[in-house]
Amino acid sequence: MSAGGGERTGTRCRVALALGVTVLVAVALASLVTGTAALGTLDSLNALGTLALGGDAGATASLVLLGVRAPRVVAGACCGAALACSGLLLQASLDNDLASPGVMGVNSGAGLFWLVAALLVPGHPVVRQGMAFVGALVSTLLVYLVSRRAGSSRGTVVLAGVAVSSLMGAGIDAVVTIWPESVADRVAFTLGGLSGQTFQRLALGVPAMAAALAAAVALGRGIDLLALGDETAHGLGLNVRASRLAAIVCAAVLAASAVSVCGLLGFVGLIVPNLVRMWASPGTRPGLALCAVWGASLLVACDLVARTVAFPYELPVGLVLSLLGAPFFISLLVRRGRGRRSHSVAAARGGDAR
Amino acid sequence: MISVSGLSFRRDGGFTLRVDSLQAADGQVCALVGKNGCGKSTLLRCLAGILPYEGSALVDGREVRGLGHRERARRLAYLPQDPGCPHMDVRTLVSHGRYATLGAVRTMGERDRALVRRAMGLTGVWQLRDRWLSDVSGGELQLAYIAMVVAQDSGTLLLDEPSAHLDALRCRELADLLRRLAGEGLAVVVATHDVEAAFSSSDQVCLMAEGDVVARGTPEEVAASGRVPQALGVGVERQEGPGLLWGYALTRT
Repeated sequence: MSAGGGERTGTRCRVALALGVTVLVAVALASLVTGTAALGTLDSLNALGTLALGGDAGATASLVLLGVRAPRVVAGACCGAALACSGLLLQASLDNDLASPGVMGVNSGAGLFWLVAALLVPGHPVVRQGMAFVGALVSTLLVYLVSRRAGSSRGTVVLAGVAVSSLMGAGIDAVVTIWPESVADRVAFTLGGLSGQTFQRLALGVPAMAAALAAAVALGRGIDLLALGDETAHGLGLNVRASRLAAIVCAAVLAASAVSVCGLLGFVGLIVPNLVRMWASPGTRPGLALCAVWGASLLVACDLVARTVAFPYELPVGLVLSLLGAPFFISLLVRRGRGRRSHSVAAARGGDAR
Repeated sequence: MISVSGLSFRRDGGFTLRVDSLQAADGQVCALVGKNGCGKSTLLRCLAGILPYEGSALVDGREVRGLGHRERARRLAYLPQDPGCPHMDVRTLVSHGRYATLGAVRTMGERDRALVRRAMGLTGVWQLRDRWLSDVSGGELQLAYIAMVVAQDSGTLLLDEPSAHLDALRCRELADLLRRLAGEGLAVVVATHDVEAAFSSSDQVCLMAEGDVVARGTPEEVAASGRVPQALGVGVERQEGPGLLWGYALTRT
């Protein structure tokens, strides 16, 4: 008999959460005291200590730390958390490990509508934010409806997502090619980037992220039931259609808010929820906590690498995410596949496995 | 208690379900038997509020389609055929049975935990409580799902093929469990291909063919109706003797 799955899950969740918080604090501090501006690491540490104690660190240090690096760290943490939680909600509500804001076209839908709003109504961040949410929702619902009509299998959902993502991506390319003035930094937007963040810019996205995350936590137990299949969940008293739709709306708000801050960062919404589920197999509520912490840690860490690895140049953080994350994720998938094969062999030898 | 009158459901492909009358009283086990595609599962799905039916299906005197989702689940538990194998442990699965009765924050209280423990004890999955569903046998998985609907603590159980994947002894134990639940006042409706178990351990048998109920009554009445061979393709006959697992056996027609 195997060790207790429930107890093991609880312990693993607690360990992963504690470790994630520690890593997040460490990478956030490292990110705050590291930079290309004329403020070295030791000077940054001194200035940070002075500011923490309420002292005056000087105009330059205050500007660099509070005006440049701190908004960037907060933006990275919030966007990473939002995208990872969005991925988890999509995977749970569509019962598909490959669902993520990037794959399902949520990011590109939000991006396209954000660009169109920037083009048609320039200088209105609230309109851009609202349109990003509409675009994310349109993409997700399009994928959901297409896959329902086409049979709603796991493969169909992903194929519909790829198709919608391509469509929205083509729209983005068309907009930035015909109207290049619609976006200040095309590469940073399409690959994802965190440069030039301000707290004013975050003031719109972060409350929307917090509201969507709170709603997702409230819906958590219902989202857990979706894993049992629609009829079983219905029999347990869940309004299946409303719960799935609510989870998708929360995922769309989270992804849209992130896209409006950091552009089309796709990979974090796929890799983090899968890592969390591989490691701890939690329910939706603890899963959201783990995704928030580890999504934030991953994006802040990748942004730190992006800023420093090719100094004096800065790489788009999406590029670093893909370069570091993809091989790591592939190796995990291969290891999991080997584990499953050896488990199957052991089960076959042991007889009554299933 | 379930009470059906004049219920009908028409599928796009042309299949039509018609049930003029059916009652499953509290304290009774009612078995739906018939060939594949005769409408057993469709009837259960109508009773569970999944399919839009015409006519009347009352649970505890309330029309099923008029009940809210959680209100319906508090009165009526439904387990579909071949539920999946999600990645969770047995205890978590059984705990999901309490969903409809949890408050706004959806956290379980002491009564909920006691009902979950009792359901796992009744169905014999207490020893498996911390194992992943993927690590138990198909029969144990089925029992875990049955524990989940027992934990729901509703007055009526609708079970679609609950003995699927169970070995002969477990089938007998399941029949005893359903009788025990009925003894505690539940109305139990079971759709099954296990004809021997259905006739041997039910209070009422409902024989179905091509969407119609062709015979209904006590097992003795249905066995004597002469409709069984045509509806099932096999006969069923009372058998007596020490050590027999079931009181009825299948016969060639």
